[in-house]
Amino acid sequence: MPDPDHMAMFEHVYADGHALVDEERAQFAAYQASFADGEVK
Amino acid sequence: MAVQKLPLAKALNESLRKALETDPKVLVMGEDVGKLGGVFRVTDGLQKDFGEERVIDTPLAESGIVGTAIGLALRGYRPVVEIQFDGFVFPAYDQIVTQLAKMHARSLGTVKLPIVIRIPYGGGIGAVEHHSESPEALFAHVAGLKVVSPSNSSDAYWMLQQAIQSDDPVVFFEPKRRYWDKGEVDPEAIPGELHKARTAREGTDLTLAAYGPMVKVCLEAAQVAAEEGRSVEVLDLRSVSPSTSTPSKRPWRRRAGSWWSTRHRCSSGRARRSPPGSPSGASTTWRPRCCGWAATTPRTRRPGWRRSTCRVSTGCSTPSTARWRTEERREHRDPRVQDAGRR
Repeated sequence: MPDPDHMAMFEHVYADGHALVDEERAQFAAYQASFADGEVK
Repeated sequence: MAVQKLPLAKALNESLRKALETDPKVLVMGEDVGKLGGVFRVTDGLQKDFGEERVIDTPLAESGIVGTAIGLALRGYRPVVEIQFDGFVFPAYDQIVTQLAKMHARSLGTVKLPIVIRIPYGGGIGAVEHHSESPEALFAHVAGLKVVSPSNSSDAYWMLQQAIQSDDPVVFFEPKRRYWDKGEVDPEAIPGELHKARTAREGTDLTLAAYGPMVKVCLEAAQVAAEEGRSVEVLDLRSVSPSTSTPSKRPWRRRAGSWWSTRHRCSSGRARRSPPGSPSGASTTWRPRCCGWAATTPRTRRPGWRRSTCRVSTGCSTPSTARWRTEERREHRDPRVQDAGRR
């Protein structure tokens, strides 16, 4: 079974959502983008 | 209901009444909430007015109470569960953390569990073991849960209704020490956001951040400080988790060899090992000072992300060496940190 996209782990944390989760998603996206091959270490 | 000065417990009663009137799917359940009206009378009169099928006396079994609420929520109800005292929540902890917090993510968003778990908490009423706990941190660090605590009657009235309307599970900590404190409740007012802090008192020299029963203590301390010529800001955090940025505009200040921003006590009056709040939102390190906690140099905490861990996310959500190095390099570019290093 293939692994889902890493960014999917920020989905469905809360039904109503929260800015904190959005902030963490953005942080992780920036962190992921900082790797030359895009692979999180 | 017109503007009234109500004890916090009565404000909660009115809030529950309003919720039961507004939404036929709202249920209230717990030990002694029906015929007795609750040991603190928070549910007084509700069973008489709304019936035994909406205000339900449950058996003495907290795990079963929460488990039943989960089942009811799956069938479309909005249960408001009362855990009679803070120390009684531990048998329900597995249901809350393993099922209630995670069901939404586990079902990829298909299932919502709009459950409110009301818990009278904190010390200061002369109660014995199991009746004066402060377990909020145990829930604040669990992704999928929202943890809030009002400090006054108005917030109690509005925050409980907002929690009931939320589609997320909310652990609603009620400061029992403040149940009899009166405050104005305006049913026509526009309430603040559920998870937003408020400035309870403006100040410029120091910030005290607190929630629940300690907000009043901090306000009293700020008043004493004002009489001594110091200006102290008091923040009411309102939401333990998730927390938004505090509204304090006061910059970090250097004082007596360390940086000061906030000093905080936990709801039981003893200094905490760590400050409350969202683990991802905290941005200071703390050390003990004079029976409270003072912030030291502003550093960035980097815990795991605020989500339940699954097979895929385990590697990503756990702080790694590479992530720490990234943050370390970023901090070294932070002028506040560089400034502290020169002093």
